[in-house]
Amino acid sequence: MKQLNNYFLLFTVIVLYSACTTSPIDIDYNEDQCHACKMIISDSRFGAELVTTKGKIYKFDAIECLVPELNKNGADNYKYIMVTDFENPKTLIDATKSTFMISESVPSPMGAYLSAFQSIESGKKALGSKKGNLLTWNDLCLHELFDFE
Amino acid sequence: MVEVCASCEINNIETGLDTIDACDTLLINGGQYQVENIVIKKSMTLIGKNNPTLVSKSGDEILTLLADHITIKGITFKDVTTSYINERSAIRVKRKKHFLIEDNTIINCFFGIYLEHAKKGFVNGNTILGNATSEAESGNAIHAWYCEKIEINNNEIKGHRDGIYFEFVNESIVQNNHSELNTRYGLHFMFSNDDVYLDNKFINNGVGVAVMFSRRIQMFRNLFHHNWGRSSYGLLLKEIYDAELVNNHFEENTIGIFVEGSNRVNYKRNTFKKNGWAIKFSGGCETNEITENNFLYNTMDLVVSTQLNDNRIYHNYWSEYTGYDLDYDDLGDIPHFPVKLFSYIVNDVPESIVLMRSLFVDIINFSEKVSPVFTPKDVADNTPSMVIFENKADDYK
Repeated sequence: MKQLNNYFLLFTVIVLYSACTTSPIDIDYNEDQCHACKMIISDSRFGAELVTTKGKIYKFDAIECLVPELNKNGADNYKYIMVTDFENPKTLIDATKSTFMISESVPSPMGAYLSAFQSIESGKKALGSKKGNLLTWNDLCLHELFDFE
Repeated sequence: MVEVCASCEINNIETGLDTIDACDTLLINGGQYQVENIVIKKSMTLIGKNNPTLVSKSGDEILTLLADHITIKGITFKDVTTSYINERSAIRVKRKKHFLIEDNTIINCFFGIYLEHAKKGFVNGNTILGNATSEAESGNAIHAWYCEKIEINNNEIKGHRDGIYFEFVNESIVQNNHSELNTRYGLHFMFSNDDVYLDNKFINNGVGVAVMFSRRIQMFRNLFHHNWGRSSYGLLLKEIYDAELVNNHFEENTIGIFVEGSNRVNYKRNTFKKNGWAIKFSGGCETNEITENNFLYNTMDLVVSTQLNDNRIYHNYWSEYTGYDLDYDDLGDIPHFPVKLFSYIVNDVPESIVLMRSLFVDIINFSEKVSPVFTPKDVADNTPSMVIFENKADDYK
């Protein structure tokens, strides 16, 4: 009985601890809503996510929706900045280490023609001979993405 | 005219297309054809008789129209599969004018009809059935990208991502369509100006219609019904300028209209019936006019998160109005305040919705009504109507 109690205690501690960790979670496609543009997130090649240092999670339907939000609040407030690997839909990867492609041949949900790749090589492969260019994360944050008005 | 059928001299479509001259007609008489990537490069008419079916051989595109003046009529298209790299479609119009795509059936395709830089064409009376579920990836039934002066009429659309999708589409008309069970939107406008949509039915979609970043859109006599769920609206207006919303019917939606950053929009003679929220304003909405609408039995009629600057609300019928009309001019003698204190609280703390309809909520709403502290005093209908307005779209259901 005492052993059982110990197991129970251990279980409780694990549960409580896991409730405190900040980590990205998967985007629930066709259910979740974009924090910036209020659209339902539905294209699993472009979803993006921000996790604040306090653990609050913001989901976006496109990278071009995430970047203005990030620039507005400053990158220091966020523990994770995640984008979807274009080649592996639904898979979130670290945005700061990703390569980004802007090419008219790949339209993205909010009209910036922007997609993310895990490595420079896969980005180059995807771009191939198409018109467009590749950017690093730092280039992207300076890039003017959304010019409606 | 050249005829293609199983027992004809010409028994495949590719040969048929090579044989005919420009401006001639190719008739496909019954049968099923395994085809892929057919490109039509001359002006012509392609007609199906006795329900011929074109099945995609390996799931790639079926038909691409690369000439002006092409008619496609009465043909069934099937089985274009999902691709993450290409937006494959059953019928694609690429940089051409004067097309007519009529009375076709498109079943189980990734994208249905894809209009790319197309102008002055018609998509009429097609039936497009997809198999989108919340897990599976699906494309749009009718996808228009950089188009001008196109008309989408009388189509039946079910089970795609967006029923009809407009991106950079100007001066176009969407009329009399039925869009149902799409995972995202029944109809979706992005960066499109000067369009009209009227007499459509949007039922049971993720969101009925989303109009985003567009100017001068006119919306008449549409039915928005049962768009129900966690992030569902009947109509989403985001960054919309100079729009007209007249004679629409919103029934049983989680939120009838969700508005963000929209200016100079006229809401006139619409009916909001049995919605969770009838209209929810969220920030930055100016110079809107809400008049002669019917607000019937909604849980909350109006929610505003900020001050509604110079917005005008007058002559609406509110089923919740408890005033009187002593001078018989059909207008209530005391103002109606549609924003309740509880709707304020729910806006800030969504979880408090569990208190809905409790005595506590009735008490705080009543005390706020007697002496308003939190709710904005300028959001009021000073001349509420005592009679329900007639609305043709009410009979659509």
